[in-house]
Amino acid sequence: MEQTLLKVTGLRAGIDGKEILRGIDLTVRPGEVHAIMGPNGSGKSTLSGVLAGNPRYTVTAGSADFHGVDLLALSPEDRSHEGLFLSFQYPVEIPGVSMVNFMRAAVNAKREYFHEPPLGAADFLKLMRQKRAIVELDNKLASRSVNEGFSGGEKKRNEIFQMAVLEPRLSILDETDSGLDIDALRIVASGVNKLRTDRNATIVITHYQRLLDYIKPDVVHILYKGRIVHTGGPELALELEERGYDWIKEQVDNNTSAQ
Amino acid sequence: MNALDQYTDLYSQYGEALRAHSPEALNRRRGEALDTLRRLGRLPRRGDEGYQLTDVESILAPDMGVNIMRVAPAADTRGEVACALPGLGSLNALLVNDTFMPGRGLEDALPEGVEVMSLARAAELYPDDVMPGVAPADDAVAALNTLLVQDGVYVRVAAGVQLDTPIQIIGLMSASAPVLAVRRVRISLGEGARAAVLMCDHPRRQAVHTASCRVVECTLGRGASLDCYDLEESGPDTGRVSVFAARQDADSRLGLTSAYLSGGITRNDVYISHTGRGCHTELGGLVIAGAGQQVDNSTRIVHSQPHCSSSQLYKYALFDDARAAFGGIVTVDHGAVHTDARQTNRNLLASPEARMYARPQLIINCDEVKASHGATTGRLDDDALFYMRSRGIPEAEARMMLTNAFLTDVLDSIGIEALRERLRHLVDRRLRGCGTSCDKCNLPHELRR
Repeated sequence: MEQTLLKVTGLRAGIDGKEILRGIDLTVRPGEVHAIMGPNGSGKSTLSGVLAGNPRYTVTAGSADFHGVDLLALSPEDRSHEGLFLSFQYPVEIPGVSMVNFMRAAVNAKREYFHEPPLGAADFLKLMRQKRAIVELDNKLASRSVNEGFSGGEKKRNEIFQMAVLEPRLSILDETDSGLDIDALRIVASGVNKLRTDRNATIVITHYQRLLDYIKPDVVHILYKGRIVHTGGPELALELEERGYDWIKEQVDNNTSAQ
Repeated sequence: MNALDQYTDLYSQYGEALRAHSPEALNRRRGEALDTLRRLGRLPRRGDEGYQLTDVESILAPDMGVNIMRVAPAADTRGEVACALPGLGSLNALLVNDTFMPGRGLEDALPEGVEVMSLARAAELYPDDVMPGVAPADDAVAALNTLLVQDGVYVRVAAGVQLDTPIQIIGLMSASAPVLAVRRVRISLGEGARAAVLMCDHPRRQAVHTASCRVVECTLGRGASLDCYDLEESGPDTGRVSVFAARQDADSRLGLTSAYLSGGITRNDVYISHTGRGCHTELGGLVIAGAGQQVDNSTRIVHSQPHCSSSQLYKYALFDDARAAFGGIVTVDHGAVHTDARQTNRNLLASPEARMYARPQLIINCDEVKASHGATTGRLDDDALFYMRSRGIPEAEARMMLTNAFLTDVLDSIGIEALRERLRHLVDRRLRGCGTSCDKCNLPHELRR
C-alpha cells in the first residue's frame, strides 16, 4: 500500500490577484481522517476549491501529488475520476438537470475514463438504490432537479450520496455540518463513517468541533491566514472548542510581528 | 436597384402570366399589395424601427427565381430531404418550394369536417376565405407575399370538430438554381374547433441559395383551440422571412411554439389580435444558433378586449458568432380591462462573439391590467459548471446539459408528447454539435436508451 495518498507542498493560491493560501504543506495517508479547522477567512474553503480544481482560483506556487498523479495539472473532472471528491459547503442548485441524468453522466464519465462500458439501466438503478440507503435519501428526490428545492439537510445528504456512488479515494468535506440540525448531522456523519476504509481518506473542513464528535479525526490542523499554523491530535479540536481561536491568532500574529 | 424593385419589376413584366396561372381569389389582392409596396418604397433595413438586427433587403436581394409558370417540382423530392419529425400521424402535406403536394394517403385520412388542401384549389372553392386579411396590410413581407403568392396550404377545421392527430406541413426546397418560395398557409378553425398544426422547414442536400417568403394567417372561431408548431431546421444557404398572423374570437386559445435549430438567416414576425373577450395566447420560442446563423423573432400582441391573457417565453442559446434578436411589443388598449400579459426573453451566450439584441416592450393604455416583461442575457452559471465537473462530468458534456436545462421549459409546454420528446431529442443532438438530420450521430450511451 502507498504510504502517501496526498502530499501538498508549498501551495500558494489566490483569487483575482489576492493571495489567500500562503504555502500549505499537508500529507494525508490512506485510512486517515484529517480535520482542518480555522477561523473565518483563514482559507479553508479556498484550499478545498483549489484541490478540487475550481477555475476561479489561481495556483501560483507549490505542488500536490495525489497517489503519484500531479493533481494540479488535471481538470476538475479528471481529479474526480482519479478519486478526489469535494462535498460542497453550498451544493449548487441546477434547475432542469434531473438527479438521475446528473448521476448517470457522472458514473458513465468515470467508467469511460477507465475504458469501461457504460452501466446498463438496471445496474444503474440498483447502484442508486444501494447508495441512497447509506444516507437515507428519499427516492422522490431522484426525479427532481439537482438540489433544487432540497432542504439544507437533503442537500448535504445528497453530497454524501454522490460520494458513496463515486467511491473516492480522498473526500474533502467542506463545512458539511453547516446548516444541519443534530439529526441530519448524525445521518450525514454516519454515512461518511460507513464509507471509510483503510484505503481511502477524508479531510474534514470545519469551523466547529461539533462534527468531530461524529467523525473522529486522526490529525487536526489549524489553518490561519493561509498557512497551517498548528497540527496535533484529536485533543487539539477540543482545545479549540474550549479556548476559541484567539490564542492561536495571538501566537501567530506575535511571531509574525517579531520576525 | 434595391431588392424590392427587383420584385415589383418582375411583377410589372410577368404579372399577366402570374395572374393567368393563379386563381382569381389570389389575384384580387395583388393590386393593393403593389400599391403598399410602392408606397413603402423599399423593404425593411437594419436600423429601421423594429429591425435592430435583420436586413430584410439583403435576405431578398439575391437574384432568385420565382416559379411563376407553375412548373411542377421534381416528382420525388422526399429523397432529397430527411424530415426530422416523422411519424406524428397520417395528416401530412408537403410544400415543395411553393407547391402543395398531399402526403401519402392524406385524403383518405382526413376526418369529417377537416380539410387540408392546396391553397390554389381552396381559392376556387372558398374564394372569400383564403385571404382573410389578418396579416397587417402595411407589413412589407406580407405585401410582397400577397403580390406574388400562387399556392400554399389551406387548412379548415369545421365548427365543433376536435382533431386529435396533428396536421403536419413539411416545407421542402427543390431547386438546382436559386429560388424564392412564396408560401402561404391559411388555417381556419370554426367555433369550438380544436387542432394542432406542425410546420417544419428542412434542408436540402445540394447547396443552392434558397429563400422563403411565408405568410401564415389563422382565424380562430369562438372557443376554438389551435396549437401551432413551427420548426426551422434548414441549411446555411437559406433565408427566410415569415409573417404569422392570428385573429382570435372570444374565448379562443392559441399556442405557437417556434423552434430554430439550424438554418441561415431568418426573420419571423408574429401578429396576434383578439376580437372578443376571454382569449388566451401563448407564444414559445426556442433558438439554438451557431456559426454564421442569424435569427430574429418579433412579436406583436394587441390586447383590445377585456379579460384576455397572453404569455410569451422566448429562449435563445447562441454559440460562436451567432447573431439573434427578440423584439416583442405588447399593447393593451383602452378598455382591455383585466388583461394579463406576460413576456419573458432569456438568452444564453456561449461565446464572446455571439450577439443578442433584446427589446421587450409594453405599451399600456388601460388601468386594471396585469402586465410584465423582462429580458436577461447571460452566460452559463460558473458554479453549476464547476459542480458538475467536480463530479466527473466533462466540461463539454456539462455545458451541453446546462444549455439543455436552460431551454427545457419551452419544450415542457408542448402538449403533444411525441412531438415534445422528438424535439427534446433534436435539441440534444443539435447541442452535441450534430446536424439534426444526420442519422449516424455518435450519441453518448445515455441518450441511446
